[in-house]
Amino acid sequence: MSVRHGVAVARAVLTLSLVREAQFRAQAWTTIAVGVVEMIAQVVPVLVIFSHSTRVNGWDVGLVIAIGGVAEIMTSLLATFIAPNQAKMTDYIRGGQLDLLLIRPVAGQPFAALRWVQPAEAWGVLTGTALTIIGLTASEVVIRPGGIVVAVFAFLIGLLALALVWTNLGYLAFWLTSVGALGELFSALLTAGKYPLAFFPRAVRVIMVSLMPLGLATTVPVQLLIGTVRPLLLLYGLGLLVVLVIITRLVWLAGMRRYSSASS
Amino acid sequence: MIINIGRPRLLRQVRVFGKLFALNLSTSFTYRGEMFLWQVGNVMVPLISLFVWQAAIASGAQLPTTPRYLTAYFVLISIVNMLTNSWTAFYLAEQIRDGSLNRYLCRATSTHVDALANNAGEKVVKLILLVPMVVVLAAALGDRFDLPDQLWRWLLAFGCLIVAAVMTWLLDVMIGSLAFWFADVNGFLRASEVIVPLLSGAVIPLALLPDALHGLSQVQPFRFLVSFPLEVLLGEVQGGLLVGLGWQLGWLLVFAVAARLVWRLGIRTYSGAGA
Repeated sequence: MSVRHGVAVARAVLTLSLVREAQFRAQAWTTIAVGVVEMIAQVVPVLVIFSHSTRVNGWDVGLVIAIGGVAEIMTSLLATFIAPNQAKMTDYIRGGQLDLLLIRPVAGQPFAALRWVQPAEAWGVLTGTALTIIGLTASEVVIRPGGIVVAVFAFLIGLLALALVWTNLGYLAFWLTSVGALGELFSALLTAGKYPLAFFPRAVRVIMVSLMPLGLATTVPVQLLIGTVRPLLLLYGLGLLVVLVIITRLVWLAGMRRYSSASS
Repeated sequence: MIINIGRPRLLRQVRVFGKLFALNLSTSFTYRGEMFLWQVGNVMVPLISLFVWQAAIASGAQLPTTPRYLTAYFVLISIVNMLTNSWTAFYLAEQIRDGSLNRYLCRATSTHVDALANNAGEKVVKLILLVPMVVVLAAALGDRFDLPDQLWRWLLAFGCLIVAAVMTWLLDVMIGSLAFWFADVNGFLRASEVIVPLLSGAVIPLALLPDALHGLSQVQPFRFLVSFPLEVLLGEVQGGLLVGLGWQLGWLLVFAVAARLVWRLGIRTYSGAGA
């Protein structure tokens, strides 16, 4: 499949999702309204913590709110592009619906991973960006344009790494009866991304930059913005991403070998 | 349709509940793998909060409660959360929306008896899976928290827990019943999933709220869904034990009347479209 063909498929998927969303306008508005409530709910615990302390392990309230904002963007993008597809993975494999994806003239693995999009969930990108700006302003951080580029790059690496981890959990449906609950557990653990890595014990921090790279997606971009870590750290993130891409491909191929259609 | 209070009918509903409970218990065991993972999440989320608060304490935060109370709170909250949880609203709304409520309206029992049996049956299985995880967590935390040694406190907290579970279920019936008037109640559900944990003490112990919010947080109904049973067990009831018990029973009454009213008004507007 050529890149041009891939872009055309991606455009079709996005257009279709927007058309579908337009059919359920009330639901889209509700999602947006709830997004605002979620934003407030996200800030409240941080404000309560900092009503008892001015700094926690070197972090002030503004920076922690900024991390919460980045986490909101991360959660929102995962809910837009990854969650709807992972929720269907068990049905694809157990019900044999994967056949219908594999026989299409598109690359099977990315199509199965990104076929469904929930545009209304992307509202969190706006609220998360607002929170990040409010937090950085409150903390009086001086931001350089170069810093923003590096931070966005780091965020994308972390986001893609998390998306690949979640995708691999979905592929376990090739071997297990149902993986829906694994996805729900993964979503629940995303909560940890709202707080700086420094808030957690060392063992948890190691997990948060490797097996469940939440720290790469949320803490590291803010640290790059304020200049407390070197951009060299991105090399580690890129290495992790490459490893995860290889693992994801291998797991998919192994799953394909095991998959026997249940519908035909 | 709400259960009539007449004795023969009540006995019949109790028998039906027993049968449905046994059925739900065996069905829930079939999904033990999924339930195990849900319980892992149930333990992990409060653990994340515990780490965050421990970091705050280590940084010199001046809290209005002790670190030992906080640790005990976050260790036990997964059990309280699970036992007081309800998932009736979604299924009730579906029954109203797609007309499958019809089959309960022409039976000698109610959809609410089925929902209660499902709630209780699943919770037994979840409890079996959750308790060992909490024991492991408690063992890992060693001597960083205390549990009460007075039997009366455990019994009273258990009673408050039952009341809290009933209140949560009644709230769910109210939210689900909104489907009589709205085609899609998912927005209400998602909003309640965000607001209720925050106000009930599931995310932050209410004792840690700033002083200005203490008065309001003590009397608002959501406190009695999660926080209050734990406050009773751990012996730190905000505003006094007897006053708290009075508030909880008062809110239970309000929830029961409101749920019955919403259901009765809704069922008058209901017209099943098939099923």
